[in-house]
Amino acid sequence: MRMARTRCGRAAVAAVAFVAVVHLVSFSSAAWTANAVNSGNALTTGTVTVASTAGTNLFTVTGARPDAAATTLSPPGVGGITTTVSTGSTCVKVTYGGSLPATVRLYATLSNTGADGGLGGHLLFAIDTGTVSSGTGCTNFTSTGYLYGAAGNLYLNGVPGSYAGGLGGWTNAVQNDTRWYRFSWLLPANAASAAQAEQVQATFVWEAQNN
Amino acid sequence: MIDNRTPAPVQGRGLTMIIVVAAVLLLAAPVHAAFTASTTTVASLASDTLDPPTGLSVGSSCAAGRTAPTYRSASSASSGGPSVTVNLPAGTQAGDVLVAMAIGMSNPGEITFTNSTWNLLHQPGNNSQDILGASFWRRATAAEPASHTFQMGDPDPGAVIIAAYSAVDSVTAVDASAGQFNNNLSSAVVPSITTTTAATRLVSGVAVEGPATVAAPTGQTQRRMQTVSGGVLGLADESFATVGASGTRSVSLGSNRYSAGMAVALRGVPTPTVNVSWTATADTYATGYELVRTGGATVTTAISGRNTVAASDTAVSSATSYTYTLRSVYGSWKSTAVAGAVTTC
Repeated sequence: MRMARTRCGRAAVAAVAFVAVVHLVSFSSAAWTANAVNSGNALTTGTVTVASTAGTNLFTVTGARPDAAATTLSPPGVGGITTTVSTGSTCVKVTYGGSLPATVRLYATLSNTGADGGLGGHLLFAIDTGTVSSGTGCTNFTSTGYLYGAAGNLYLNGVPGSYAGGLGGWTNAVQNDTRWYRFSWLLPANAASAAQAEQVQATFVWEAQNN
Repeated sequence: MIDNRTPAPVQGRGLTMIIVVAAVLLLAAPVHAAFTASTTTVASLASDTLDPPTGLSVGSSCAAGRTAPTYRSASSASSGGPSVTVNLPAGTQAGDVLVAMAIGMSNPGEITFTNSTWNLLHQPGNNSQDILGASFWRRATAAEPASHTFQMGDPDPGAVIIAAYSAVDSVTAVDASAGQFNNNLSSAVVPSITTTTAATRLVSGVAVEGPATVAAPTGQTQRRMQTVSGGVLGLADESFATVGASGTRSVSLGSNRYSAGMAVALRGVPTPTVNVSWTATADTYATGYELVRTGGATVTTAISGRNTVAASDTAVSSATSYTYTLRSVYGSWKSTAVAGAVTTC
């Protein structure tokens, strides 16, 4: 009788442990290495990865000055803004490479330098997504919607700074999903004189979190 | 034995229950760790600095043209003699030119200076007709007395009018002057004078024996009239634009009277021009410059074109200090300033 209870208890422990491990594999998605806790039960590896074509530099502009006339930012529906010392646009393809379904959001951390708070408060900025029929730049970019600055009157400083408030719209991303992003900027004609000799460094982050 | 064996099953059941409860909790509240991954890229933007112009030069020239003196105010007084004390005209500033016109009744030659700072111009009169006119001038100083006393030779009635004028040439205040006695005429005549510069202020004094009032000579503005026992004195002026003879000015008296007429032409200040020049900003995208003049009223002038490197300012006063501040301009941007000062001629 005591022996029967003991066997029964051990079986229950093993069963519960197995259920717990299966639960962990099913409901968490850490990018961990395969881990077997019970011979005969194979566990899969979950990953969340994201990559872009931008590399470490999205763009670098020096000697920017206000546009001669434009006071609002108006990226074209197709293509990009011809880059000058006053305006420009860059297109980036982002690929989700994780094995687990995820939500990808975009945000930025800014480092402003300047007498009146830095250039980010003077630069108009817009981010839209779209499709690119061929090539890697903005030439064949066709906008499908704005994530930020659709009216052309928002400043770079207003781009969300965390995942929680990040620019989204990319939910349930699955492995090898891609999105094209177009970043456009303009130092408007009415930029204050205080915008001279200022800088801003914006680190754009695409962050994927599993669903 | 039994006591030693009994607890084992109890402990086994307790452990089993704990594990089961833990498993249930795990299933009921599954862990949902948020695993993340990210990729970043950096955008760096830096703005330019609009370079200021360099080599600013500010100078003044007075090649041609003058501005007529401006009337400021007048004061007057009369007495029974032997002196007349007149307050300084209100608002008189250092550098103003004061013109005094006087009338003395009874014995001629009775009006004299109380100090050497007044310059006598003319004393037209007639010994037998008991009337004398006189004209004087002086330049107000920073410590100008609050009043001036004109001494007469005898205790006879007299009157004096002092008028203050600004913007009179700092070198030669009186361009021309004259005086004449009018012997029992129906008009008081102010003699013609011949000016040598344009834009003078023609000041007339009329001293008349008999009436209680006297009008301004034709074409002139009456600035002050002062009665005195036995006569009346008037001071009037006009801006006289041309060079040459002014022609006479006259006042109808209604009947024949003895009078004296005096004319003084005050020379206007040169019309200065301030010339400003500079070297263009190194930034070829600059669209122009902003020139600001301070000293007196602040005046801002927009100068179009980066390659415009000079400007002149004629809306300035003579013998006045100004500072000019220049900035490069590109749209809403302005560069740091360069500045220069000048005192006009």
